Amino acid sequence: MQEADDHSLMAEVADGNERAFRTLAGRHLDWALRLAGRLTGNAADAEDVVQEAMLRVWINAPRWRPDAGFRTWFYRVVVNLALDWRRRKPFRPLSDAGDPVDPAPDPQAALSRGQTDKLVTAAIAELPERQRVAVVLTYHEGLSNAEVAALLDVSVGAVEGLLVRARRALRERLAPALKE
Amino acid sequence: MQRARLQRLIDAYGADPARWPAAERDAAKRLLAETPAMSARLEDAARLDRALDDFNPAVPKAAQARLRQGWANLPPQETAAVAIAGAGLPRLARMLPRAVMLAAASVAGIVIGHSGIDGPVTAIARIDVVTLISGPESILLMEE
Repeated sequence: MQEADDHSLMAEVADGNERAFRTLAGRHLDWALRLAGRLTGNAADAEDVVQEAMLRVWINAPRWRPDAGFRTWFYRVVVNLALDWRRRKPFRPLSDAGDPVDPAPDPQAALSRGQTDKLVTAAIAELPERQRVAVVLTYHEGLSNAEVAALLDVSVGAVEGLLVRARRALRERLAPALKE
Repeated sequence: MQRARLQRLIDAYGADPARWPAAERDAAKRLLAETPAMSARLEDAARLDRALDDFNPAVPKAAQARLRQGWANLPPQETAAVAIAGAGLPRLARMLPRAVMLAAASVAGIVIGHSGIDGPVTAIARIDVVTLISGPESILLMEE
């Protein structure tokens, strides 16, 4: 149902409707920032990536065709931009982000969570590019292997191979934390 | 389903059957129930699953606010180009007022001295034009 709404909004955006753009962009802002953050490893970079991705939505709307659905298309935009960003800039950890994250109600839990986040962020950041994308899209975005395969332009079997190798590497890098 | 295939599913998708391919899920769960020896492998995978599940970085509210604010003044779509300083599209892009974006797009590739008609930007030393025409993969950077 939301996809149909997205299509309608994109049709309006194609006609230059700024209000429709703001509705559409606002609807997808949170998950896009989160996805970009996981792929770039840094909230400040994620903000820049999403800014550019949203501009692409605005500028490309007149030429956009709803062949694969807005969300699928936008996934590809964010993923490609995030990877391009990573290629151009060295990895910066989450702690280098420009803004503090929203405080959690329990400081001890926040500390523990922060440490886990840093470990996992670093481990994921060290993965080869395609493995990193496969992990984030599969485990964090909940995409099916077929959807991930389509986004990466590879076979489903290749996605499985990426995931197997990624999990093996993550298990090794996170071994001390996994024993706790 | 062969045992090797079940192992492969666990190694690739983790311990949660919800993440296994739907077409194989039921057969895999049946085989798993009949194969107690697989429990160690499953627990090992579950530990990594939990670590990955915990990786849920918060989205700064300030970033959301800045992005929403940047949408208040959008450049015309037909311009199909956005001026930025430096590589990529740094934060300057969302701070550029509409007039600067229009001017920059119309004289792409040259140095602009801007008088600050709509905002605080007074000069852009270098212009990269990002052509955003044909699709998500098409980033064309033309420097100076």
